[in-house]
Amino acid sequence: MLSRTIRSVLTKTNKCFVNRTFTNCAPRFSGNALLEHVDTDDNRSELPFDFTPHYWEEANKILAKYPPHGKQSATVPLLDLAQRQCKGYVPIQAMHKIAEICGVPRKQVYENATFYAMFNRTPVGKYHVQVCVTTPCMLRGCDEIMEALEKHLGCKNGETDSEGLFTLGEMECMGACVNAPMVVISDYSNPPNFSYDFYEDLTVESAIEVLEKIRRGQKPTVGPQNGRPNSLGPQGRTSLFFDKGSEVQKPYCRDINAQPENKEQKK
Amino acid sequence: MFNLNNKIYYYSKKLQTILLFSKKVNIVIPHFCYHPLLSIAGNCRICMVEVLGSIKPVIACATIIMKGMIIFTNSELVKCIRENILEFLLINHPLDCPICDQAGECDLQDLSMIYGSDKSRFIEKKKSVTNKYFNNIIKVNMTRCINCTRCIRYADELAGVPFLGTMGKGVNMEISNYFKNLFISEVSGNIIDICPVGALNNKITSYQLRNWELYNHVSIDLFDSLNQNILVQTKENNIVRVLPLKKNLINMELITDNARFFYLKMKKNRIFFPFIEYINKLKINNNNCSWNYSIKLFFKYYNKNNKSKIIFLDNYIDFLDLEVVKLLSYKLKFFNTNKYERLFNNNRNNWLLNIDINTFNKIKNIFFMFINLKKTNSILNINIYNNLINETYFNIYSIGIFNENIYKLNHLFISINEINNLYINKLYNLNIFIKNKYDIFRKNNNSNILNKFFIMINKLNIYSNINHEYHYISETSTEIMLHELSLKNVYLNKKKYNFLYNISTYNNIEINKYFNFIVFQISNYNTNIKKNIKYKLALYLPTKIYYENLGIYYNLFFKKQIINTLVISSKNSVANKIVLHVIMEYYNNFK
Repeated sequence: MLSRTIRSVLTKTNKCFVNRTFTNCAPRFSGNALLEHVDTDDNRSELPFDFTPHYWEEANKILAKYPPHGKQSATVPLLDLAQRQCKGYVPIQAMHKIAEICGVPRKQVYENATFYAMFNRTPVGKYHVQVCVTTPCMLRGCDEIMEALEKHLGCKNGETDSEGLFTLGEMECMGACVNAPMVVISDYSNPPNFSYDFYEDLTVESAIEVLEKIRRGQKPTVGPQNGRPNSLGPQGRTSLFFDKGSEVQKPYCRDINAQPENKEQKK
Repeated sequence: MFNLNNKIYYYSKKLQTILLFSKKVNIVIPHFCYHPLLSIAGNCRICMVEVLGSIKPVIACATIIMKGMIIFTNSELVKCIRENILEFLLINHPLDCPICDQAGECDLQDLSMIYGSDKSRFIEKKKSVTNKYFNNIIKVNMTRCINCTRCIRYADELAGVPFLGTMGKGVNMEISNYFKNLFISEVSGNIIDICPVGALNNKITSYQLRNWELYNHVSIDLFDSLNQNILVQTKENNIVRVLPLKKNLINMELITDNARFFYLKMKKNRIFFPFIEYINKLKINNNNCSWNYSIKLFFKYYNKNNKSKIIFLDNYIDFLDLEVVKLLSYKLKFFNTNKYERLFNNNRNNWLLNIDINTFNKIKNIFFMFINLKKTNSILNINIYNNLINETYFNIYSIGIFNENIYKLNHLFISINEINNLYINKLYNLNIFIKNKYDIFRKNNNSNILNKFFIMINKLNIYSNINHEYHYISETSTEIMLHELSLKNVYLNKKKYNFLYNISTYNNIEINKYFNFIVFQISNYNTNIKKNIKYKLALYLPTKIYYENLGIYYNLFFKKQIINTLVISSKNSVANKIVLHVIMEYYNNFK
């Protein structure tokens, strides 16, 4: 309802991007839009899959957190590990392996992998670019950025460009609404290292510049692109003043490690 | 005390949901996702009722009645809620009731008739879903699905084949078998009855019948020793569809696929006239003959071969027929054979299942002896599996041929030599019998090994004072009735025999022997017979199938059940007991 009323207000003031209307918008997905598995050369259940020693170490750390009867809690972090190892997507053989490790029926892993938009089920490029399209970003013009990126990369939403470097995608709210519009770029280019960075306060030009810098091999500055520190307003700091050198006052918290006192002994 | 629709009821400490209590008091609350056999999901929202004091309405299937609650199930607010929720459910539902098989017995159709509004306010695009393939029995129309998730819970909790799931989220959520998994189970057909709309339908009867054309008959199924209670539906003197009978404890509103489609087997190769079959120069010749001639032929060969006259009893013969067979075997000096071996003790406990189906949840440890419960009695198997999910302290062991089951079995690999030589010390595996009390489920097929095994367990009892309970699981109900009548049976040792009299309505015979003359009292011509049995001359007498006349049967729990005539048979086929009586009288008069 909220988005519908905003839409009606915006169309009256003619500030709005006219192309996408809510009645005609396609269902939003990131990665694979199909909710069914399709066999490809790299994505088949017959292929063997196992974590590399580096990822087994991390997987064992995750599994150690849960009791033996609660292993199923490890499915989501393990899916994340598998996605990093396979350079950006979870193939079906990895899902089957995870179901075997966690001792859950296979369908439970399918459910998890299809539910969370951050898991891709088809291969992506080296950099996965996801544009936030929730209400605050939409008001600040995320659709224009999307259009510009589509033109620049020469591919549509949900596709990879001809070089195999960038994949465009949509994303729901990332919690950086103060700095809208924003873009998330996850980096799968050198496997054991993985980064997942926010680029905020974008304009059409700065968004393209971020991508161009990455293409050139440079690392663009993470965070706001218009030069403001974090999410500071135009007036600067208006509350929470601290003197230089003084420590920030923490809220009160009881000593968690202290043992409870016996009331009878007090008396 | 609490108030339900302006009536005061006494509050009991037993926890009860609003929906269950209102069912007792005959107040109807509509529901889609709630099913008495399955766990509560609470996602269809049609069962919402008004509770005084709460800001929002609550779902009746999941809220427990509290002291002093004031509940309204028919107020104007509730009617308004139902209308609105039905509108939401119908957003993505196609309007194809005229070509839907479920029409006439569809919950969604009924409820939208009673509570629904006449038009939809939805203008936006509808959701489209790709179609799925589950099985060769189930026809799937996924666009009709309302996401009640009954099928998912049935596959998980009862059938034990978790192949379905909710894929995706939000508006785009759909029920699918993501990896195109198949639903391979003995009880897969129940998913058709459990689906409240036309998304899952019967593939075999699709586009062939309408609900209001059919006549209902209460009956039982004989392909299982449980004797499942079924509702047989007929149309123009033909059995068209079989459904589980509701409100019965024996099979809990579930039936196996064998019971659901048993009538298809009976339609093939029906015999209408008595005829002779003889093999001449490697060619099989058939000649029709009259009833008079066939009985004369019977006694001609009967008098010739005095030495070995064998009567073979197979499945699906009722109790009254068996009594006549017993008389016949005394008078005509028949030796009786059947594939079930005789038990040593005539105590009734030895050949029955000694627990109720309600008390299955009180069993803690189970031991299966030479038995595959998944195939022989899949409804009992489901019952065990369902209890196993709730309680984790089950110990289940099995011995014999290893078969995979829907739950985890601890299989004891003990060789036959070890059992034959009674080396108890070597059988360290059997220590389990000293620790806990076990319920032992057994079958009587290989009695030699079994008896030695029993002796062994009894010897182990010296170390502990535990009395294990024994349960007998029979293959069919005729086996139970044979034990009840204590019909003697004989092992066939020789290769050649002269005379065989066979009564079996429908089944394969498993004797690899040679006979000069055979009388088949049979309803369907079965080509598989010739693989297992060899003969010179055969006389076929047409009989009625068991559901074409009245019959009395006994259950695995020794419960008496009756089958009435469901379908009228043709003139020439005659009931089993009439043929047997004619033979008896003929023998008395013309001896």
